[in-house]
Amino acid sequence: MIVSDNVPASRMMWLLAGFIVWSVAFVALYSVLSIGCAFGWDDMALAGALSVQRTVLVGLLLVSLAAGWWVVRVAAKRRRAAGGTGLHLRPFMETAAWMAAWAALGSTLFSLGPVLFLTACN
Amino acid sequence: MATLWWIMFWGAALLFAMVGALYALAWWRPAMMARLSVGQWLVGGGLVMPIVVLTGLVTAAFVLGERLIARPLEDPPLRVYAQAHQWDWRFGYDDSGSTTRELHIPAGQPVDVVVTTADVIHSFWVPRLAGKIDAVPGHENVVRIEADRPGSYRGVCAEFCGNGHTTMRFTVVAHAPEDYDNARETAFAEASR
Repeated sequence: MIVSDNVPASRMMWLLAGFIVWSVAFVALYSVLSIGCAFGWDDMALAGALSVQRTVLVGLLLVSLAAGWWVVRVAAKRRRAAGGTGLHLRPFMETAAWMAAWAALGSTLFSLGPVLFLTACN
Repeated sequence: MATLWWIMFWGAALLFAMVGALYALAWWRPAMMARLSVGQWLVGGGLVMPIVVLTGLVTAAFVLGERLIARPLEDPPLRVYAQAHQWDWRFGYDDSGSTTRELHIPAGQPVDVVVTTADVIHSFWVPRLAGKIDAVPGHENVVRIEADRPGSYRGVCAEFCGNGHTTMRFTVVAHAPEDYDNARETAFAEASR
């Protein structure tokens, strides 16, 4: 790619896709956490020690991870189709999109994974 | 809470020293630095190092944060009340209708502070005793504090609440358990004057 090439919006979009999933998941988990605490979901047992609150939060985490994984797969496929292999930064846009998708998936697990073990409501 | 501050301080000091050492090496021994490729520097310094540092800090914050949560104890701790208003604090106690201008607590035992507000959002923060907790209209938030020894501990409002925010300070006075009742009576008398 030379600098003067026009990059269509659809190619740019895959660069952002992973982190859009991350940000939507972040906002969703944060709001559902507060809503759940306000409605007392933490005190409602679903099965044994598992509360409704924990189940909903972990469910959202799994959905977010699945969505992030889907973006990784699509980005990888688009990169292969464009001739990218290994860890070479060519073709640049597709490779950067694929790496960003992995980074977003890792971030989702890192920043939202603690819903698995931290105290949900105070 | 001071623990987290010290962890961050020494962590930052260590990183500062490390970056300084790398800079000195790049200056005095460029051949040594050139042994690693650009890619290795990028992945090592830009990916591996931040992940290690962030994971360490996040873990410390999680562990200390969980400890601040006012969980029910077998022997229920003393409850006191902190009410914020623009721009001062009032402190109340279960066994008395009077309030004090400073928060009086016994030293060496956990105390649950029920934080409320009469107007806008404020935040109760005594850096040496616990983390911040917001005072939210219509809510009762509880933070567990504990002073290891008698003394005065300074506190501030940690959420911007208007013109008087910066002067909205208060003091938590921890007394030896045997002095606690007397000290509080004196404080009630002072507050009603």
